[in-house]
Amino acid sequence: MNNLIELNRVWFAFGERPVCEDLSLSVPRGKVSVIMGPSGCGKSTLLNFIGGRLKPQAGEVLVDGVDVSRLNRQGLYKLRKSMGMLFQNSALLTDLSVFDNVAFPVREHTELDERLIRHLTLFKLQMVGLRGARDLKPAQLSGGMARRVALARAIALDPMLVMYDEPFTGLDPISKGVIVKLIREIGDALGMTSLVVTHDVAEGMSIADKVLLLGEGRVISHGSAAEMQASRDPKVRQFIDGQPDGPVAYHYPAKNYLADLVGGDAA
Amino acid sequence: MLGRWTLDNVQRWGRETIFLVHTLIGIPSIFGRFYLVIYQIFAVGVLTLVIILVSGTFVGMVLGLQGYNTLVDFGAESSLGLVVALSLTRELGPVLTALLFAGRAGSALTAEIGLMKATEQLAAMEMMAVDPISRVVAPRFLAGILSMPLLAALFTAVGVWGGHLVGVVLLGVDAGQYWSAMQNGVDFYDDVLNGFVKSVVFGFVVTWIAVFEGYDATPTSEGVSRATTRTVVNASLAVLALDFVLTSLMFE
Repeated sequence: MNNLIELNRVWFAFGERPVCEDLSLSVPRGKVSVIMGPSGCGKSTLLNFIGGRLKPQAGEVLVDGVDVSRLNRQGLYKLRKSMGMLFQNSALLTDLSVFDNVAFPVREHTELDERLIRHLTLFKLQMVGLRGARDLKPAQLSGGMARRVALARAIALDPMLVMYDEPFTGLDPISKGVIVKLIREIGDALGMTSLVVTHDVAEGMSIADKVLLLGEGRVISHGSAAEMQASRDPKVRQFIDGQPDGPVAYHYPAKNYLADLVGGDAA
Repeated sequence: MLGRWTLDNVQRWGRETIFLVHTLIGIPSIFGRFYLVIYQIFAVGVLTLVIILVSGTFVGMVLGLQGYNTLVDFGAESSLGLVVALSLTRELGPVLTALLFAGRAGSALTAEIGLMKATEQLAAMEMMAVDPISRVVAPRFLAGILSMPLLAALFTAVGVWGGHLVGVVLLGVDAGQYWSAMQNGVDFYDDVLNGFVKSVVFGFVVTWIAVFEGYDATPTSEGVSRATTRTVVNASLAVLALDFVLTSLMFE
């Protein structure tokens, strides 16, 4: 089994609006995979399938050979202990200090001695360079720092999989660079599988072992970063080069402009 | 229109009930970490003390004043202690404490849990395989149920003292008569215990509504503000309606 995650023919719709139509993809074990695509194409929904927070209406979501959508609550919680997730807005627990936030999953799930918890927590904080900030409260952190703390928390239990939901959004260039470096390092040093969902092309490409480009609820194209850069597929090119118009239309679907102007709303 | 409203509400009651069962199941798991409950008792109980003590004193003082003015016409001002004590233990203590509790602690609980939901803290806990209902909701729920009777008892106590302040110290009712009328007339089971039962029931209902509204809130700033309003309105109505039911059952 070289793939940690496999989605097979997944269908999902929010009400009337389809998000995934017959979506199949695979995420290789121990690598950094980056899922890219325009906003609203179901990237975050995908992470919710893998974390078991949403169930697809058809198809299967295999994580380490287990179909997530068929797990009961206990099975799901057991699986989640081996997953870490970095939320876009960090989602730190506001009533706990930085140290307690990182120690939180360890305290909840293990009976470890407080001295050992301290060692583990300081080790993770050292990795993200915030050992000195351990006594601060989340409200005192900048956006970039909060995300690093959330990252330390996501890897606190040494999970097999870390999911990043838009890890670069809203950060200054330096903080972005730090997160890029951390995702790469954590993947390599700790041997974790990383799944990054982003629409930042440059950052995504720079860390990816495998790129999956999503659009219209399907995988448009996938391959290594170099293969994507060299691609001639107009859909791939439009996204990578950031062209306003192309296969993904600039205009929201509407009736003929002239008819609209002349006819008024009655027409 | 009416059908839609009915369906929405029935669904809501269903969610509310499932949520309650889920919370009650989560309660045993927090006895191992009782410090979570202690902290919440501080947040919902101790921080509500000031408003309870101040209001209790004033309510007692008003009772003393109004009671005296009415009783003195019949030369019955010696019963003032009894009037004050019975009104407080049976009705005003539990009911007013519950209303103040809903406004002070209930709204805070809803807003806190609602904001935790809006900032994805609850989702993050779920993804860390921590059940937010047993980790976040259950300690708050238990703390509310434990705090409410204590607050009601304190409200009643300072109310009796406030009545004494006006009746005895200011208006000159005999202190011995004030206390002995109270001692003779107030029955432990009929009055004190029934008042206690009321305060436990109100604590249960107010806290239940508060934590549910927070957990069920639409995760936006508007949603949290609506949920907070609903907590105060629904909890207050529930307290007043339940008080009538309980009174008619207890004091036939």
